[in-house]
Amino acid sequence: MGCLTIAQIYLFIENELAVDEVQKIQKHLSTCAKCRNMLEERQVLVQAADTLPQIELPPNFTQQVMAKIFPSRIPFPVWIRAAAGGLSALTFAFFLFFVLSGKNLADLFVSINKFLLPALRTLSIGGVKAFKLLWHLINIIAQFLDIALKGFGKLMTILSPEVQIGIVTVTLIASSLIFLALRKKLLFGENT
Amino acid sequence: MNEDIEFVQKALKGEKKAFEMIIQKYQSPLINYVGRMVKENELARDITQGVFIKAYSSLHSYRQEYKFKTWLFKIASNSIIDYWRKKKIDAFSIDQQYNLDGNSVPFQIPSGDPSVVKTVELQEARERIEEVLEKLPASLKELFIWRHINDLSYKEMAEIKGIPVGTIKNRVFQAKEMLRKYMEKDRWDA
Repeated sequence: MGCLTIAQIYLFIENELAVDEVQKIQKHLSTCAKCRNMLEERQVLVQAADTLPQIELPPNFTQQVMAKIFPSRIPFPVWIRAAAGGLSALTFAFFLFFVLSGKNLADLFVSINKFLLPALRTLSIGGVKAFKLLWHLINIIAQFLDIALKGFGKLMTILSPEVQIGIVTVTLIASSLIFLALRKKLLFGENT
Repeated sequence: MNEDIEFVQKALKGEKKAFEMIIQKYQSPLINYVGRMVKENELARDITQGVFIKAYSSLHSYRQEYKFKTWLFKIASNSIIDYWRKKKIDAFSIDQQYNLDGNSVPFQIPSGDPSVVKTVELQEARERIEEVLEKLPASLKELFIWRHINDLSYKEMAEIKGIPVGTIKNRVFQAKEMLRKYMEKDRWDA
């Protein structure tokens, strides 16, 4: 056997040769220093190449990809889903009743119309009363705030500026915390 | 049944968890391939993410006579080429042969040059491979990464590229010889 080709050397290192070919190469290597030298230096190269460091991924990578492939929808609150379901079921039941009883749907629309007008009148009277009530409530709150502000103003004239700054700071922090807590409480659905 | 085929079939039936398993299995091999090809971590993550999205959207077109792994790497390879084309960077061709000056020459058996790789420590060899890997033509770099970092067989690589196994082997040997020569050249230049 003559000296080894580069292909033979690499195939020998990677165990990609048949047994008889391997034996021939081993026999040649035992007598040829040049080929042994070529083999050894390529063994180091292959060994280093096979053990190159791995590139790391962020731990949430899988979740990020999954979120891109399957974007999750924010679900409707339960009460909306229940109301929609109830309304659909009611409509269907009405429709089914009229189809099965053989009654004319026009009669239904006439009776709904007759019922709708007084109902609308009652509702509008109720609405005006509710508005008046709300107006009174706003007036009471406004008077209370007026008294509170006047009291606060008087308190400020008594207190030193340092204490005033302290009170303002604490009030701001407390308001921010309440706002954040409310915001968190009011959010619904999944965040992706 | 092959584990990958099982995951694919379940994913096609709508089991999200099955596709999640595919992502978990292949995200590391793909990022190691894409990352070394484009050399930018964030870009590599974006391309890898895109590979999984493309794979999911065309899962119905995957044919089971091919290995799922090679199908996925083919998508990744095409994604890198698409990115380079968009950025007007030369996409690579497998049929080219190269020497250190960039001219096309037949792959030659070297003489008994003084050994460089043999004398350096393994760790140093790794560092120098990473450095000179950048100098390899993209087509050879890709094959080298597949063979030594992704541990793909020559047959799998031939399946991805659609060329004979013998040609793939020659290209990988050529890549390693070029690396060796670049390492040697850098050592004498230093």
